[in-house]
Amino acid sequence: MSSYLLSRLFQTVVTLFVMSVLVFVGLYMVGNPVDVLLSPMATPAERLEIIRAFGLDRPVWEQYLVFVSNALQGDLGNSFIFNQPARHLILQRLPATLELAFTALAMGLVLGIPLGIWAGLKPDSFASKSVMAFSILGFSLPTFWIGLVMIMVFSVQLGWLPASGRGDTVDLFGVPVSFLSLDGWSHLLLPAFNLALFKISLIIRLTRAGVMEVMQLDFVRFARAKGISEKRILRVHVLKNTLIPLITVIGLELGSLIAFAVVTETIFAWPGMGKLIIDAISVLDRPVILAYLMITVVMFSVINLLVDILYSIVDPRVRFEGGSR
Amino acid sequence: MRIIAAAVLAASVVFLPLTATARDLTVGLSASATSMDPHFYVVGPNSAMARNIFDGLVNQDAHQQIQPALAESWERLDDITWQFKLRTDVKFHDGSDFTADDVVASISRVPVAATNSPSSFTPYVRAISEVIVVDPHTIRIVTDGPTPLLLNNLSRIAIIPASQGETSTEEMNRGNGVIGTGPFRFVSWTPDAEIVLERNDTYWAGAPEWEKVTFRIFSNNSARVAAILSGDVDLIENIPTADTRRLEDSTSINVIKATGNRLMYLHMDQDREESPFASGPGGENPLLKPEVRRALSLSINREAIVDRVMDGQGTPSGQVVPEGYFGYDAALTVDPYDPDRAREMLAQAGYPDGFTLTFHASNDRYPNDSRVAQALGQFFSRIGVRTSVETLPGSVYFSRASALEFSFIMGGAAVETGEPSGVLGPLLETYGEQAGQGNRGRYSSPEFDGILGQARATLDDDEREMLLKKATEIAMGDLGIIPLFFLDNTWAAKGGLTYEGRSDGYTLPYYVSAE
Repeated sequence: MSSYLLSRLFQTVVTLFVMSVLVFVGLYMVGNPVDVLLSPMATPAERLEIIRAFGLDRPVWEQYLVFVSNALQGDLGNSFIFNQPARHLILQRLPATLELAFTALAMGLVLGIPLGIWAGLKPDSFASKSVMAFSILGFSLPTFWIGLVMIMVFSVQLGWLPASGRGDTVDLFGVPVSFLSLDGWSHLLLPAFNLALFKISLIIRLTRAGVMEVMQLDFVRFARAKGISEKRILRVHVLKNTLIPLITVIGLELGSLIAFAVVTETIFAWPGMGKLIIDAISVLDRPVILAYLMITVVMFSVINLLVDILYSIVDPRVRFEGGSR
Repeated sequence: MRIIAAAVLAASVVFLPLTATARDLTVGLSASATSMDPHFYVVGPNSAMARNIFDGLVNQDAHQQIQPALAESWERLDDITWQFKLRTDVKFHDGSDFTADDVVASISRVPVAATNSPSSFTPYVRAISEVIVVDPHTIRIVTDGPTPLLLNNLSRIAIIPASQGETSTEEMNRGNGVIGTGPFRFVSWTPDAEIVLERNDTYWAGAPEWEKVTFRIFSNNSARVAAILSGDVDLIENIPTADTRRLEDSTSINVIKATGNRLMYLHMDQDREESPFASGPGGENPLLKPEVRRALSLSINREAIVDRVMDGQGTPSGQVVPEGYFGYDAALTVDPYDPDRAREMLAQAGYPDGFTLTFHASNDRYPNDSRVAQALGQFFSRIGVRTSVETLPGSVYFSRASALEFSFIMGGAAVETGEPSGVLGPLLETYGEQAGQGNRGRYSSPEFDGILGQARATLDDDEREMLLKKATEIAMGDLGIIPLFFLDNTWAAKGGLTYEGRSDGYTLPYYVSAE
């Protein structure tokens, strides 16, 4: 187990390194932030001074080395436009993004799995066909468009739910969260559902396929022949075998939920880190872009690790041996 | 305990009439202030937010003309010495009195706050060589030469209490020491999400109507519109052009428009014999010829662009400042749309069959910039200039434009000084160490430079205005830039709320009032 964790840690470090080089070189080639930021009234002397202050006058490899040595000490640089540590800016917003992503994931599981099982058990019924039709819509319509339609219907026309923001937050261990207050939930509902829609559809389809496949297998027939109740067959035999592929996909999808939250956050003015990165890219605020990507890579790696551990719990045949699974 | 509760109840009954009239205002902004330090970064959202919390010695009004603020009057003692009489009845949010020492501290803090600033306030204090305290309510400012724009520059410098003269930007961003004399006091700030202010009951120009103001940031256009439609906010700025007509038709929403100070213009390569993206039959740069530039300007139907592409949110222009500004010249009319004349002029200039041109523009920096660029490309094609249009994200576009990688570009410049020299200088003065830093077309006219320089050193307003008009006339005659139109500033307010639109686009709740 420990050698497995060590090799995973090594993988993460390599990923971080490759990622940082790619992003750094990419950003360097995109353009000089000073041209975007500086007012035309500034003299060349002032311009040079700012370029020096930001360290942009040094060759790219030197800038990179400075970045790496600072990063190793936990300093990801100061945002050019906020003049605040980029790490602080991002971590300040991380809870909002995570709350949105996890709520969306929970919605996906709570709605997706039962609907998927149902659709898998009674594939020919009208209700099951409706569920499948819904899932096709969830797959094919773009998130931002659905988000706007939801705002138009539920906030503007019906006036049931607020269109934007986080509402009243309650501090949970010093972290502000929305899901503990009614007002918070009213703000959370639309964006989370918007983000979850694609996942719900995906989970419905996966569960349905899994259930339909497992129901045909010999051990289910055998269990039936033994006279075990349908409920128990479903709960113990079918569900457990369906869950294995599902966990892998959900783990991967949690990562994409956090990444795709950018779109939803922008539409619903949700104060998460996705909004920050969009603004940072448009003004080439390099430290914020870099820090965001670094933190995201770390998060992805941790999630993947957790998924692997969970996997071994559900399926005891999976063992941690060296770097292989 | 019960007694206290009863007392609180009694007190609240007594104050009920007062709290019933006090109201809160929620404003949807399109961009976030990046700092609470008013001396850190010269950028629209920061300057607008600073105006809510701070005052300058003088302030700019809705048309960017100078009005007395913390200085109630001023006089010029000689060409380089200005004396300001300060208000005596002003208190800072922390309760301290406003005096001359605070002015000295504020001006000296500018270079301190410039550390790590992407665009600092130092250009505004560059000309100030000395600030002398005459008495607690009189101050003398000595400049290193005649500086007619001194008042304009001072309007940009927020006055902070002397006790905060050494406070760092980091400290202010944490919310410590954000103390001014403005209509609202600072309460809290979450970068890119929310800013909360509350009423300054002792504001020297009269307490604001709003008890508490919450600014929320909606950088996405549709989200901002949805927020006002759903009633989440009371007022939004920058209505996306596509939604203007719809909001105008809505009976529960007031749309407010004002001609803005941002000029959209075209820069053309005017100093290279061969240009990377413009070439005539012999490979030469056709943009060097003034006739060609005029032909291009005549080929543009500015009215149509404003009306169709901008949904009416613009004002066509033939010069660099909008009407009502110091230095506006009524004689400089907008070039009419005349494609026949344009073709004729092209033929006279030696291009009867036109030439090839690639036109570059940004696609995320100004409202509808890429669509305006497409429309312009079509107008040029109609007079025989084989134009292809390439639009790029601002983050890539501006560095490449500054490096002169393009031949023909579109830009937008804000007239922040309330008069023409603030645009004429950066965009049209001959490029050099101290001048023309935004002159990406490298237009150069010694005559123009001379007159502009003269205007900068002329303190007499009438004479200066005359010189500025003359300089504008020369630059527009040569078409050093082709002016297109001024972007309108727009706001949408809930029914029952009014706001006087501003040319600088600032959203200032002090001037929002309930009918």
